[in-house]
Amino acid sequence: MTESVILILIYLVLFVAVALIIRHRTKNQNTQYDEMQLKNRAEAYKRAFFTIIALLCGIIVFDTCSPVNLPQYALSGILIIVVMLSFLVFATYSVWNDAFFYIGQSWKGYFSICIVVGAVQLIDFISTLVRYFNGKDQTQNIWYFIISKASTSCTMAITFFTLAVVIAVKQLRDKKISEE
Amino acid sequence: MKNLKLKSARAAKDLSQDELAKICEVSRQTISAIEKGDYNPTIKLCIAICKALDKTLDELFWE
Repeated sequence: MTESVILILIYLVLFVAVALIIRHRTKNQNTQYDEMQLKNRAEAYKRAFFTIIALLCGIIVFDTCSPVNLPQYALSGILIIVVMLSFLVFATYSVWNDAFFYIGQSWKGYFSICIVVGAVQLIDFISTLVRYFNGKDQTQNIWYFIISKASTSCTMAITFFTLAVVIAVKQLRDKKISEE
Repeated sequence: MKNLKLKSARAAKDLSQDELAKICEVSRQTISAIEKGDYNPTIKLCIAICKALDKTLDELFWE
């Protein structure tokens, strides 16, 4: 009980710290989107929202109809997959329609962050797999293991690498069909 | 439909898409999309573009 309270408090402190850092960093910058970007971002949010709804409906139907009981932590893993996939839908659509970065923002910073986060998550995924195949993990069924323990890092690695690829391809394409 | 009038007015002023975008406070991609006919700007942006290029709305946006 005490541990969960401490974890929640740590989470809240981290959340507030990240929010304050982001606010402080963006305070002095001209972080605005123009009208076309706002329109495209609205469409991207809409697509991400419907992705979440469709995936959650699928999970509810599966949970209701399937005789299989999902193992512990499976729901957390599945929800992270849902969140990351909808984020990917939003990010891919907005990057492709020039609505991800605000006016004048460089894409290189985001690209590097995506590569670093993707690499960290990939290492985490591989180490989880190695632990399982070395017999150090107690989960018996490999599918349960993948859903409950490996899905988080795997989904995040796929999401961030895909986003990095989308950003790179978009920049190359923009350079190619550059004006005049 | 492509907005060739806008493109030629911009070229006549010797402005790049990037420069025009900065004057109008929008992204370069937005100017590019307007020129290609992929995006219909609001009247506010049309006016900003017209002011930047010293043209009237009729000259740039009326077919």
